Amino acid sequence: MTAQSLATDPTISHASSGGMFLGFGNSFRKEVTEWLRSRKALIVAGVSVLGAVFMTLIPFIAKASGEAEEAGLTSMDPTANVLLALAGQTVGLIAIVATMALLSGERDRGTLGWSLTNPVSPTAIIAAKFVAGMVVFSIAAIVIPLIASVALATVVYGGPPDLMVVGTFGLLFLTVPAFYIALTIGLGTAIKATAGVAGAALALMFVPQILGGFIPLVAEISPTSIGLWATAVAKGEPASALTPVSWLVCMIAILVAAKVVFERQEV
Amino acid sequence: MAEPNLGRTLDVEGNPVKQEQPMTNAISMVGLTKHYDDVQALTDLTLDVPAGAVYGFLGPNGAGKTTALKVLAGLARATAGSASINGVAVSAAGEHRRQLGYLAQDPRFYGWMTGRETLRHVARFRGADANREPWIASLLERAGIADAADRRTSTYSGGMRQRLGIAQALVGRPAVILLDEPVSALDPLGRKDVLDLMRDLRGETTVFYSTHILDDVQRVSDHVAILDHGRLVKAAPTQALLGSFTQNTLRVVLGGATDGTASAMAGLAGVTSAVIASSDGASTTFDVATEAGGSATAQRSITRFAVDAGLTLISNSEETLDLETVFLRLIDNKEVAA
Repeated sequence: MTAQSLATDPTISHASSGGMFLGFGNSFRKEVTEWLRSRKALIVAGVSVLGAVFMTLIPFIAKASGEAEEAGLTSMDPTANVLLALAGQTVGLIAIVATMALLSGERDRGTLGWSLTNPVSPTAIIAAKFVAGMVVFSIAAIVIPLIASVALATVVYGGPPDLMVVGTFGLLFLTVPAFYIALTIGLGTAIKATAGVAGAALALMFVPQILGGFIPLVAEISPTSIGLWATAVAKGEPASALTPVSWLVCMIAILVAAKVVFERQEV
Repeated sequence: MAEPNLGRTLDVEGNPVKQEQPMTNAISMVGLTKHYDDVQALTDLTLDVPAGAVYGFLGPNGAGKTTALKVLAGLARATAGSASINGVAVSAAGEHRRQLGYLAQDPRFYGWMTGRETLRHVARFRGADANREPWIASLLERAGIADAADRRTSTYSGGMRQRLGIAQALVGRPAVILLDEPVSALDPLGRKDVLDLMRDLRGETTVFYSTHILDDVQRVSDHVAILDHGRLVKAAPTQALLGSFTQNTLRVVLGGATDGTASAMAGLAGVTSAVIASSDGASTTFDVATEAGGSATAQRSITRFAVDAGLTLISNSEETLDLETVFLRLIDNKEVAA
């Protein structure tokens, strides 16, 4: 046995502080690596780019099918078509599918309990999952598809889109994955089964939209309308201030509830 | 040779951090109680584990061993009572986990990480610097998985995961390591290796481990606590516990004994009673109780008696019990050790 004794190697120290976010940095690093190694990021990017390409080319596709005028998809404005590249529902669905197992999957595999035997706070684990999910997902599902869409629109519509509008749109649209990732993580603290998390998230995604068809105020105050709000603001169209306020309130409520529930849980 | 890490926290230079008061107990549990709905898993468990000990936590299945370890690791919350690791209070916030390494009963790791990456991951939580690689390599070797260090842990067998689990528990040079059934998933060879490793850790760190394998406890533990139905039945140094059951008892084997031999021995100096334990015709075994502190006197008088009576004295020694016998007496009969 050539091992060093526990006491003779000075390379490991005991960090001195951390508090609520004890162990956040390492947890974040692990989350990002897991996204990349599992190829989930690649799959999200692939699906999102395909969707963005399809939507950017929709006037051509609609024309070919003879339905362009009926559907009002005759605009050859590159900016308008780039803004079609991302749809709140599509991005929301992909976000739910990609993140529904962030907590429940780890709980099932037993790695959540193992992680919590290290000097890491439950809050740091939740925060790391959220921040890493946001960073990777936003790049894969928003930044890369928008770049692809801009490049494609520049070629097929004979000129570049208004990058200021597209940039504003992209930035505001980050609120969409932020909401759905927070939602699946929040649900994951309370619901143990991945299928349960997905079902609850989908219900919370679609019910306000269905109700909004009958009662417009519901759609206006639903955080799931944040994608439509982002598009309207980027285009300079009128948009309700209630939507972002509701989004912010819901985000804070979800994250605080997730923290409280997760800290009280036994693994 | 550097000083061993006896329940002390090391600073970045590997030197013990000065503490206000000397630390004698690596683990302290005071009135620890835990119930799940109507199941009482732990009841008023008060136990101190001295620094540097290899401490066996023994009990039948469902005794509450894993619950106690989970409470110490911060994975379960005590209903009442308190605990501290190396002087740091156990809490959900996780600060006390800097002081401990933990191995679960069925350890699970990220399947996409290799064994080496798993140790690096844990080392980062523990504030490791860039020179951690030699330490990690030494732990992998010590745990016997150096050859598989760069394989994904999803390809590891249960025994390999157990070994990796012990290595990761040691990564942070913790003052205390908690091992939940550390050898239960291992084959005999692996079991021996891990028990040897645990024995080697004596004096380097405090090892507090649960098991129901009595032979293992007797082989490696210098202290033992016995838990049953969530209650502490007995806690003592292993040899003292065994001794407490054999105190004032002799096992005497005589050849040529007759029906009256037992009553004759009962009247000897230092002897309080003598009964036949077994007889195979050629020899008879007697359990002889002696007066407190009178074993030597009794042994001498029995020897003289055998010579005088023309009996063949085959054995005249203090009774030795193994831990299994002691354990069964404590658990089954609720016998109170002396």
